[in-house]
Amino acid sequence: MKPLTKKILLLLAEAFFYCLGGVALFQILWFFIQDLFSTDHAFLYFLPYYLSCLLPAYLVVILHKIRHPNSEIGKKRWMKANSFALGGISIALLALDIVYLSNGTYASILLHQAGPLFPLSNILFLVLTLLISAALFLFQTKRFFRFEEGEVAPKRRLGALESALVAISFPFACGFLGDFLLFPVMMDYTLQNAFLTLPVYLLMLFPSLCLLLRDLSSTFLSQERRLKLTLPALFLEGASGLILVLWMCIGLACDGDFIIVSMTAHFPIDFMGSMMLGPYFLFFLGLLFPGLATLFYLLRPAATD
Amino acid sequence: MKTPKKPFALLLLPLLLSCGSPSSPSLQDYVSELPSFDSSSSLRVLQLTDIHWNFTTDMEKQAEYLSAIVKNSNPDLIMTTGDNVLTASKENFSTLFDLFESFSEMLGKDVYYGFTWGNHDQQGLFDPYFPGALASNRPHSLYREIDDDLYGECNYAISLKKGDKILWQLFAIDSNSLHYQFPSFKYTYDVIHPEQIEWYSDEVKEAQKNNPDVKSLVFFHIPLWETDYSYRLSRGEDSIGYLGRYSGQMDETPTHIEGIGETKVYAGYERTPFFEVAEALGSTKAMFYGHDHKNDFCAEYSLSETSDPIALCYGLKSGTGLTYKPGRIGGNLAVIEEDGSLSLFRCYQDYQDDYSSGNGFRMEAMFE
Repeated sequence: MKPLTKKILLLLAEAFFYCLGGVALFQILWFFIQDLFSTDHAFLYFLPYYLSCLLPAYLVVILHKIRHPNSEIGKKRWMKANSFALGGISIALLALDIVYLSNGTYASILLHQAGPLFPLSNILFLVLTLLISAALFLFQTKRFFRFEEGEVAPKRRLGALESALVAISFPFACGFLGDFLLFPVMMDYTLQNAFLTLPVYLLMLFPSLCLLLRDLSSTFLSQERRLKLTLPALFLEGASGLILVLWMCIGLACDGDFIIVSMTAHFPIDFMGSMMLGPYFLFFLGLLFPGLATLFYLLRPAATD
Repeated sequence: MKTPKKPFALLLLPLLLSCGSPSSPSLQDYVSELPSFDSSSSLRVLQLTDIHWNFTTDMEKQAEYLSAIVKNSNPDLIMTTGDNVLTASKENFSTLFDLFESFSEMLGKDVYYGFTWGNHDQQGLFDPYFPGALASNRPHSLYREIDDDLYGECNYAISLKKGDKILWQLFAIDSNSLHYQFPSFKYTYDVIHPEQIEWYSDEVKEAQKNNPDVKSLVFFHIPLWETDYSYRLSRGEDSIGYLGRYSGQMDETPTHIEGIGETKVYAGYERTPFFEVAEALGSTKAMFYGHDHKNDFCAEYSLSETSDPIALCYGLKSGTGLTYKPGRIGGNLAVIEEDGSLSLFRCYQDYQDDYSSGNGFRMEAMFE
């Protein structure tokens, strides 16, 4: 298989699990917040479900590191270690599901809770992740995953800090993407506030687009070409973030209730706690991503120019 | 239905033009009529509130619970006062509405029902107008959603008649959800808006043309400031208005509302003239609401010494969704008579595995 095709396939796999992980993260946030506020907590009852919902995001981390390894030996070790970890978690959660089914905690294989097919859907998903873990273990020696020259990105100043910040922002970016992906189901089809809700939806998408842009450039562009495109890309990112944040601010100042009328379901924590958290977090992310990218660009080693 | 602000409406002009504009409905368009007093001299109205079904709800068990309340209290009409769901699926709503529809068969008579929305009914995997559309299409549902400029979704009335004469009216009023003022970090609870109060007043006056002695009950979700005033009076504290009989408890954690101070009533962000208007019209005998799951205080209250008091009643939380006080869940029952008299009861129904024995249900008069 050509290296380019391989890169695209792995990127698509990561993107798929990123989207799935986003929706799953958003959904367990819903469940968890509701559970947290309840008199009768159902945390243990839904434990296999909660933890299963985190697995797609874990797969994103695994795949990302496979695509961007530190070294050949590091890549092999990463795949092996994570195949064991993923397999172990899947088996443990499957066992818990089976125990719950056998001791009557789950009265049936189809409970109509947490979706119409729960817990069957959870069991099937865990079987899938178990197969993926087995595949990871087997494929570590195969040609498709073999380490190739040029896979390792050149070391950058503050590279570790940049990676740490990306890792911290990943669950938020991923969760807001999940929130965004549910818009066909939850949007206000009367379009009465369409002009005001548009920047909110775009800001949900924005952090993930920034991460995607960063990933695409490091995967497919040469160092020289990347440096050439960085400045215009930063300008575009910064201007887009700023415009969207300003647009949303003006919208909120003109009609503070538009989110309440048209977007309640998109901000579960806000509406449980009567706090304006989600939109302010979107402001923050909308400015943070281009801001950090600009900072790291300015602090780049002079020799790479 | 709320319309966009003017500057943005201009930007959306082409879209708005293509969608058409809301019609101007008549007062009668908001009203469903039932000849309830043709066959009986009294009618039992059950208030269920804060059911809070969600993704994790064991709907079979919760349906058995609601069925037990309905079976034991034997209502002719059921009104919910909001927060029927929370973080819900379409299936939660459709199962709940199917359950309400099944009560007629269970009791062997037509059991009609109406919904009001709370601040959580739009939180789910559906568009914000899905609950209203679904509630409108059930044979025994009296829910109405009119294409109008009136704020809120669930503003409608039910006229209970004997022959051509309206004896009682039941009002469902949308107390809306939350209110936001940029750039605050906090949401406050919304209120019944001035145009809704005007609509209520017009509907009462219209019914009074038919019968000057018409009585009414009002159902909404978020309590009024007058609830706090009456509770303070019951505790002998300085307050506004006059208190009659009262009962029940207030066990919610205190909060702070600008203008009220520390309170256990999670009321709207401002005091509205709704209660004052209702008192002046003299039709409404009781107002029912929910929202605060651990409060079930109910009081006869008036702002003027010479006016007839209005009963301000928290509903008993119906089911175990979200927070509740064990032993104090169920529903409120209002028995309305042809002669305009009203009796109020609390119908406690314990949450249990088996309801066949009828144990776990007790009915107590609201005021001794």
